Amino acid sequence: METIVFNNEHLGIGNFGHFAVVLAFVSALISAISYAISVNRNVESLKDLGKWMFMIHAAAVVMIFISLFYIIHAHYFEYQYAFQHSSTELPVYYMISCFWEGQEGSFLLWMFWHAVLGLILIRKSGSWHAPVLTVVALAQVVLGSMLLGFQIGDFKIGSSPFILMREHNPESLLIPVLENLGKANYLQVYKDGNGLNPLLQNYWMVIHPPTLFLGFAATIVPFAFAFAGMWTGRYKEWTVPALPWSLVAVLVLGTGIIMGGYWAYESLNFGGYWAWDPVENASLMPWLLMITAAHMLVINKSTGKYPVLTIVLTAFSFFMVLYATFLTRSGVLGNASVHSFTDLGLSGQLLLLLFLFIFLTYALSFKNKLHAWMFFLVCFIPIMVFSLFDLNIKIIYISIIGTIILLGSTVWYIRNLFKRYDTNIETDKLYSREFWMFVGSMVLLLSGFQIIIMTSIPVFNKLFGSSKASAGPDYYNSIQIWFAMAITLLTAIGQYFKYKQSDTKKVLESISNSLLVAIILSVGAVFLFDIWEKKYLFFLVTSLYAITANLHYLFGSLKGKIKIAGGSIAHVGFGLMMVGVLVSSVNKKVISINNSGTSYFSETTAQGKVDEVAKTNNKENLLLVKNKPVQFIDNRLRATFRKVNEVKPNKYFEVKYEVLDEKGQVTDSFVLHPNSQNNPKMGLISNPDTRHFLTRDIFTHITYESSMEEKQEKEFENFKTDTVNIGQSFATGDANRQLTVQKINVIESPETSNKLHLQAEVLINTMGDTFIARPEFISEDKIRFKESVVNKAGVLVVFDRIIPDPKDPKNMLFVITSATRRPILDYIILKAIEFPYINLLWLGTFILIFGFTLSIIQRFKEFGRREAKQSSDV
Amino acid sequence: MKPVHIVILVFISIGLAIGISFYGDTSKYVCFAEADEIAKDKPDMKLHVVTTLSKTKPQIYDPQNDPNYFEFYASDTTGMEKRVIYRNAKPTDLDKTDKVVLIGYSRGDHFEAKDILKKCPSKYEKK
Repeated sequence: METIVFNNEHLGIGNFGHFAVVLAFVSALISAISYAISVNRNVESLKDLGKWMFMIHAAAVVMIFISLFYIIHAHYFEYQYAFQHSSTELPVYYMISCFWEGQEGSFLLWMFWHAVLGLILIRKSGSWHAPVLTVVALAQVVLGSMLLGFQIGDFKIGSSPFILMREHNPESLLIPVLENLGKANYLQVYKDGNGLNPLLQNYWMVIHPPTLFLGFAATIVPFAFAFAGMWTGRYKEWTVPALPWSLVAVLVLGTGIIMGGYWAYESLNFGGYWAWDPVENASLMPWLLMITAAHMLVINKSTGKYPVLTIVLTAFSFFMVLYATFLTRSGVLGNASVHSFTDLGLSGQLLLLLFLFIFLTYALSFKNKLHAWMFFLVCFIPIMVFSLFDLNIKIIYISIIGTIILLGSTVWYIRNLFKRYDTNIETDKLYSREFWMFVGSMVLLLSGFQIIIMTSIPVFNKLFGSSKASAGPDYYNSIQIWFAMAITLLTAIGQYFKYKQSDTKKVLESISNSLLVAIILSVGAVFLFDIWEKKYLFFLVTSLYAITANLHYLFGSLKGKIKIAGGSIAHVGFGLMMVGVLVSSVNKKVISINNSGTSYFSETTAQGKVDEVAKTNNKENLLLVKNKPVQFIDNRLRATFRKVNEVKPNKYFEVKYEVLDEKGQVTDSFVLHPNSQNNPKMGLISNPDTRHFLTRDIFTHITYESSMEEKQEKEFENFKTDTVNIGQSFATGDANRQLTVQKINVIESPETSNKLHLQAEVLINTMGDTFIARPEFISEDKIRFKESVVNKAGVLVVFDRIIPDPKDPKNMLFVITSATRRPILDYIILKAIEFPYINLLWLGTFILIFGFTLSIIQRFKEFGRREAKQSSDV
Repeated sequence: MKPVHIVILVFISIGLAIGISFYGDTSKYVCFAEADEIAKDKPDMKLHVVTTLSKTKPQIYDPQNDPNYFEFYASDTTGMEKRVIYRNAKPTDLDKTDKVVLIGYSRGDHFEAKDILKKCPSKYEKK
């Protein structure tokens, strides 16, 4: 094979990056092994080696990051990653977003956060250092392998972000242009990259993915403590450090999810902040498990109860992160999601990652080391074979064997845990806090279970050959509202109980007092929010109850001591969020209803048939012709499309809104600029614009606009000839426009030349708009006409001739022929939605985050004290 | 029986109920012929059909006349082609995709789509 020396390539930085990838992988591996041996054999020097290796690893991860950023920033399109995800036009602040458009970049981001967390844990985890870092380093080994990009025979280990475009896609060198230019000069052809998905070019997309990934990454920490506790025999103590870290994971992941929702609300056009899309669910599932685990950790730390459930939930939150990664990154979601992700061929590797951690955790529950290893191998080897090799046996057999192994090993694991903890759940009292928190955790778990089952439908389809369709948002909402009701209710009453045993009478008194307040508030809220359906009413009461009860507890029992009130404050925020979710979704209203005011063109149904479904047809899109005000929601709002401002590649449509009172007087007005981008790859990408009021938002987006229509001139029809006087009005053939001959201009007359050249000024009045047509009549050797076409009115006017008025020979009459077709107009199709009281949701979010932060500080202090005590005891 | 046992039993049964209802409630991916069959008995059942857009057949979207009426043709996985009516604005990225999932009701001569799920052709795709 000929060797070509390619011109203008920058291979140095790629080689450096690839070196960093290998270094990161190897250093993580050595780190994990040294730490593991140091735990088992208690060798201090190996712990130090592990620590140094982890630091080298962290530096290598940063080096990968910098190399990749350098490639994107310098526009080295010979690299596949830069070519695929960036372009020369891309502003620097969006270059960082290129990292999360591609899979390799996402893994890199995840590794980066693990590395950061690992460095913090080296300093802060005290006596837990070695076993906890073993887990983190092991995760880095597996994640690092995703970036290796080694090809061994048919096996591909990972996918390197530093692969060259010509290696990745050899056909790129076979395009005809290069036959003349020479393959060596291929970069002269590939001068610009594909560019970043326009939807990601948004400031929320710079901050939302890193936050979300930090949340994902943080779930490894509580898991690592649980793992370390089992491993080193500190079965009870592990909950003390795990608790604050579980709260960190919940806080960061939750914040990331909310940011994603806010991004969707601000810049996507589905009209909402949550759509139960599998990709959204994939982030919610681990969050729900983690918040459940956090509650169990609180109970367990305070009372020592439910140790098995606590450890299982903590581990499963982390497994769920791995599972979610598999769901979103393996291509299995296929038809179920509007998001599309290509399969990098890493599904097998992703599954291995998941099962490696699952079976290691399970194996650790055995007392006997030999049993543990046998168990691990028996479970892991078949799964490994299934994941990596194409076995030529029916998938259903693999699925059945896999399911049996997974379910069986999980049962065995839980059995081992019960044996080990020797739990005695007989001691629970009905009037104890731990009992009600346990009930609450179960509800959270069920809520998560429902979401996991529904989101996993595509996986079940693949495994068992079924063809179940994924559920839509309505289905999720109709089930989840009951869980939300139960959770808000339990949030309200839970805190009144004390651990172990409470004073029944006092508790019941407090419970009923704050319930009374909540009910009184609800009566007012019902009128304010306009909510009448029974189940929504219940939900409103329970949500308000969560607020009143927790406020009551905060000021009554805790005497307003903010430092220890994190939990109560977070619960108040949660209650407020739920009120916001309820009110803004129940009374969410499409206001651009297309049935009144416009009458511009009549609505028709296909073939004039009346279909039952068509009766309830969608009228949510409204035609706004330029400069034509349209009134809707009972004439209380008027919208006018005024102009288009083009800032390449975006078009901003200026829409003026006027709020009207009963008499039609303008009380308020504002201008929105929804924009659209006609992207050559993705079609019209439309970004909404929203006007935020204190009590409602008005959300507007463009669903279509006139320049997208295929411009085809229609034939004129309805020809009609009229003989008229100056100043006389007459209708066109379709009776939709009024024409008036205003005056006749004499351009040339027989007196000065040998021809007569006249021009008529015809006023066209169409639906209140006026235009002027100027048809001409020329009489020379023969008679000629210059017709006049007014496109915006859709009118053709011909000046046929002049004749003397039979009644008054001195007067002349004008013969005018007119014809009509549909006007060519500038217009937009607009959809506007009103979200009432959505600010309650955002306010609740802030309070929730604030409460969590307080709790985290409090719980870290507890761990600090525990560690200090332990070292003084030694 | 202690309260905890009751709670665990209650929750296990709710969990089972969710698991079972998942097999009853949700609809299946069907082809147009199956959709017609189902519509005879249950005209109000929402159905999912995986289809490919027929790009050669004309599409009707005349927003000046009715911005909420869009008509096109799509063929299912068996190759059967059907007229589809979507009473909404024409999804603007529709022409850039070919595989769409239609969610709606079969109406004999046409399919009444309530939702159209498109794969957004993001840059994840290989060229």
